[in-house]
Amino acid sequence: MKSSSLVFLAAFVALSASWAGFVLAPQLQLGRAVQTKTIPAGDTYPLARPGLAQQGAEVYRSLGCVYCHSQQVGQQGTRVDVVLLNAGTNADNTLSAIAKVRPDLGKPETFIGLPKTITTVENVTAASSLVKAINDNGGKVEVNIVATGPDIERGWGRRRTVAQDYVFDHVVQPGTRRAGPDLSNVGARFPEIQWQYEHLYAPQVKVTGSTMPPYRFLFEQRRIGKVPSPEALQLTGELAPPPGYEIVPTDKARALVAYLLSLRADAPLFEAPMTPPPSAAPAAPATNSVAAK
Amino acid sequence: MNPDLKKTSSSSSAETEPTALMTPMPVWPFGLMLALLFLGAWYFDLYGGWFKPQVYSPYTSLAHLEQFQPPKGGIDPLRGRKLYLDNCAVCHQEAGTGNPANGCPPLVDSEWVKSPSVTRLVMIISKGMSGPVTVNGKVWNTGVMLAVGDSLPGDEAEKSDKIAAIADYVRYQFGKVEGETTAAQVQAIRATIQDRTANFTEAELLKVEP
Repeated sequence: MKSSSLVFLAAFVALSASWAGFVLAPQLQLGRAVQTKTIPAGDTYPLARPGLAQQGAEVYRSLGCVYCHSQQVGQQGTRVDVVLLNAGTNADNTLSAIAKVRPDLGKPETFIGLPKTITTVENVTAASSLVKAINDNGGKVEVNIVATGPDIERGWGRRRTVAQDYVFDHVVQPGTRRAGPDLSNVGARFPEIQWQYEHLYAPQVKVTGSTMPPYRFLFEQRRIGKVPSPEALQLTGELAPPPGYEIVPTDKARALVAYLLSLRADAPLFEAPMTPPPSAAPAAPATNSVAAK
Repeated sequence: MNPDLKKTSSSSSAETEPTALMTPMPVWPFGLMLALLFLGAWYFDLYGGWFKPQVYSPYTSLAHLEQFQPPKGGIDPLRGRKLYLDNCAVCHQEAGTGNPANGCPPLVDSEWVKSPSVTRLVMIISKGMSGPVTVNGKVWNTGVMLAVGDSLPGDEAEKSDKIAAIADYVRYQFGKVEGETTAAQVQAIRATIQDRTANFTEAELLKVEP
């Protein structure tokens, strides 16, 4: 072959270029990520998973959950809401400050039904003069940084996921398909252990119209001992075990649920700013449909 | 090789084989390439974030990201939450749902949390609770709550301050009861029960004004 060295060189260049682009560059960019602090609370994030949840990650992997569930939330924009909490002692001055940005709200009726979103601005910097004017008059406002986008509307998360969320995942399982809902925040959305067990045992009982197959082999039916297990599933109808028996999770189910409950990517970070979460689980839709407003 | 074949194949007859000659390349593909490169570089500069690891879409640069950082200053509104996570969430769970596996009742919508005064809650947090307790119509009788409040670090004033923060967080977060409990209020309640060492029971607590 006359040009074999040329062919070799071309193949070498092509392969090393893609290696540099897909392996080396991301490694240089993100490979040394360590724990960081949330903003503004200053908590350490992320925390390593407890041991049981780490075992659960392996169960999640072995069951192939990743083929139907993604763990990555997208975000299309960010909105900044200025919420008036308290009119303050000098309400007239507060009103005139508000009237500068929202002439239609410059009347005393604005103070009915607080807290109330008075305006939505482009970014926090744009809100600062209004916040300062109201604070100077003794009023109280809150600046809410809210992520927007289809995934957020579905209730799958409060902000986009970033590389920091996966620091302790040794096999990162972001997934590519969404036959089921995204699970990045499933621990925050469905925080009840029993709910998770019963959902794994019979998904359709908990979520109407769910297409998820039941994972009954993660549970065992056994004769009730001296006292019924506190973990026993509360099942009714044809799913209920025969009298004298109970259905309890196996170690695999315990590990998997511990892992699911550890899944939450809602810490406010520098690279994904948002107003700190009030934490209690919002009633989120469990299917792929967009949340009804 | 057969000399005849060689002769035929190297024949320069135009009828049998077309021949590629050197022709100058037209200039326009080169211009197009430069234009595309320019567009690509311009787009990258606008949206690429210059490989900064902290810049993700929808943000386009660190400066853009800075504009969305929460304003600094003020007292930490999350103090009660932090204390709750450090001291209570092990059993009651972060979302306040409790944990049937160790007999820990839920806080969400619990009548103990929604009680109009903070007295009972402060007593439970201070000294713990054991024995059967009815929460939301279900009887819980296997769990024992330790005297978490008494074992918080700090002197009496600091403990009271922390208990107040925890109580406010729990009441607001799980009972939707708003209110601000002061450290002095908590200290007054704790003064009435300071000699007690045992956990409270449901019967004793029910005697206290709700």
